[in-house]
Amino acid sequence: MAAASTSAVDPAKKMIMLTTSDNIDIKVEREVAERSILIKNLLEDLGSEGDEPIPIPNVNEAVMKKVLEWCEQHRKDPPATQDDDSDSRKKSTDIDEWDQKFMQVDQEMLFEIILAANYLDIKALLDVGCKTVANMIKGKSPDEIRKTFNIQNDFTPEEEDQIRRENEWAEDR
Amino acid sequence: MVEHAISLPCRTHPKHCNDHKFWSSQHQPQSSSINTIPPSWISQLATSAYSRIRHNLRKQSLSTIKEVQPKPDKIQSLPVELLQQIADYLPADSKAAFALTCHKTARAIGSQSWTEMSLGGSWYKQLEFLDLLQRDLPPLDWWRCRQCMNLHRRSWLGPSQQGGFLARWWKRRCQVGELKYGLLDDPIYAIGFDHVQLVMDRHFNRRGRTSLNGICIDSLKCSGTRIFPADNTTNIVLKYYFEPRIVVDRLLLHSSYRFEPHRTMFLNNTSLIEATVLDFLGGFDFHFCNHCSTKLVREIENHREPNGMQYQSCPFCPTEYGMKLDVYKPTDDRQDTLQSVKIDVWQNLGSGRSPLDPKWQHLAKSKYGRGSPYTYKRYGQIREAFQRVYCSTLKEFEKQMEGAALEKQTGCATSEKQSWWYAESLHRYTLAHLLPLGRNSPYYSLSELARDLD
Repeated sequence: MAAASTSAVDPAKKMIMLTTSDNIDIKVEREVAERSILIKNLLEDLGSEGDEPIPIPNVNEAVMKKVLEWCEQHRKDPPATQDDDSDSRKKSTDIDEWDQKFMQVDQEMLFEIILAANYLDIKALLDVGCKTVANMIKGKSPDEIRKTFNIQNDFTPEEEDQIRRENEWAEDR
Repeated sequence: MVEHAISLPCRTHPKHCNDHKFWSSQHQPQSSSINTIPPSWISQLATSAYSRIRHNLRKQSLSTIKEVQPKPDKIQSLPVELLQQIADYLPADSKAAFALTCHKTARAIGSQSWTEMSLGGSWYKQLEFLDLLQRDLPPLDWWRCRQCMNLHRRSWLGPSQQGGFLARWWKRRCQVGELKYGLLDDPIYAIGFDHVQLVMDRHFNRRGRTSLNGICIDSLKCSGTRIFPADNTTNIVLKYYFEPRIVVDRLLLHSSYRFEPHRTMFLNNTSLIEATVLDFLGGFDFHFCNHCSTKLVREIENHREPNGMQYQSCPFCPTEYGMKLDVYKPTDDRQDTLQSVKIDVWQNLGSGRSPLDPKWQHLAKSKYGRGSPYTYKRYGQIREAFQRVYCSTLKEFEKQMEGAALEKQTGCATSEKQSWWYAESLHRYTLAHLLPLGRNSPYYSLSELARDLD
């Protein structure tokens, strides 16, 4: 990377060490790792030079690498503003092209990424993950959703009947 | 106890009917299910623009994810707040569908999502949601009714019948057959007494918006297209619709047929003796009541007044019909003209209380055992009642007549509260006066009209 040749004094370029749940150490630039609010706060709280590895007990190596790949791509993104919570954010499920490619993983990994993003407090990545899942659900019937995610239908026939009756979906019998 | 199944009167379902929308539950992204789609459904799927849109939507969403066999219930390992966050990105119908997948999502997203869907919200969103739900149901069992915003069964169990000797005797006595429309051996529509009874059951037992009795009147609605080959160069295209309406506690059925010749072959410099629609229909036993068929068109044509509908009535049952011959140019640049025939039929199916109702008895008797001639109280009454009376119940009708009479006396609406209602009835009154009546029928009042329906 071209960035590597720049000054080593720059604190953003400083390497820090993360320890994943399966005890693997991953070296990563501080700026990249600080996309995660959790790690950022930890680093600030520790106030150290970042010599000692930071334990991330909830995320394994494979997922961590994937998450860091995303952080690397989005290292220059402006930090999320607080009013992002408003409705305008919720309506759109558009995902940019790089993120779409990035999310082309199997479902297990997808949900691991979402859980990791939630744990590491990476709002933008969590949004991308949720949008991806939402896109998979959109336009499907309940049964099709179950098949897509392999969800067990735990409604009893009586319960299904009950819901239908309550809501007058099927008034004739 | 023997229960018997009754199905929709529409006999061309699912191939030709426009009204009883048909969804296939086989229409799913999994490629393995493609093989299981019966061939007749494939064309249905292919022609449904709506399903294409859905398909595209799905393809789009699938393209972002590699479909690998997921480990069971991975999505359920997500904490509730993440499920909620995902649901926030979903449109209302998908959100409600997602909530319906299992207990956990139902709890996370809340039953609110689907009550919102079924009670409030815009009507087309609701219809889309019903379409979604229908995909999970056996496709041949349900249809989605636009008017009721509901899913209806395509067939249902009729009242159970006793199996004893008396019952058999009674059944034979009530053996009233059904009304068939179209060719008798391959009808496009067939309505039995059960249909009339169930529709009227709902009408009489309606309380507020919901009623569990009977069936929705739109179950009897039907429309479609049929093509009959007339000769080597021409097809006759039939476009038809059936429109039921309850007028003053009677079920009236309006059916309309339009026969249009469509050339299938164009020959230059060759003169062909082409059959006209009239020739075709003259030899075509297409029934619009159990006793009258298109064979009568020649007869009608001879008595036709220029540029008008010629109205006739069936001598054996409460059926009135009119025929109109249209001459039109198939395309602007062609010199020759084609003829099309339009037949409108109005029938009084009665109140559906008993199969021994004389009206039903007259209607359902077959062509061959013609039975006694039907006496009309007034010529043109069914058509006029269908077109002019807008009250489904007798009570409502009487109220309107009172209001109109009062208005006539006072000259204006008396109270603010009732003024909208007067305006309404005034409008109907004017409409009634302006509507052209049959040439032979002297004007008679709406109240007489309603009375004569009995």
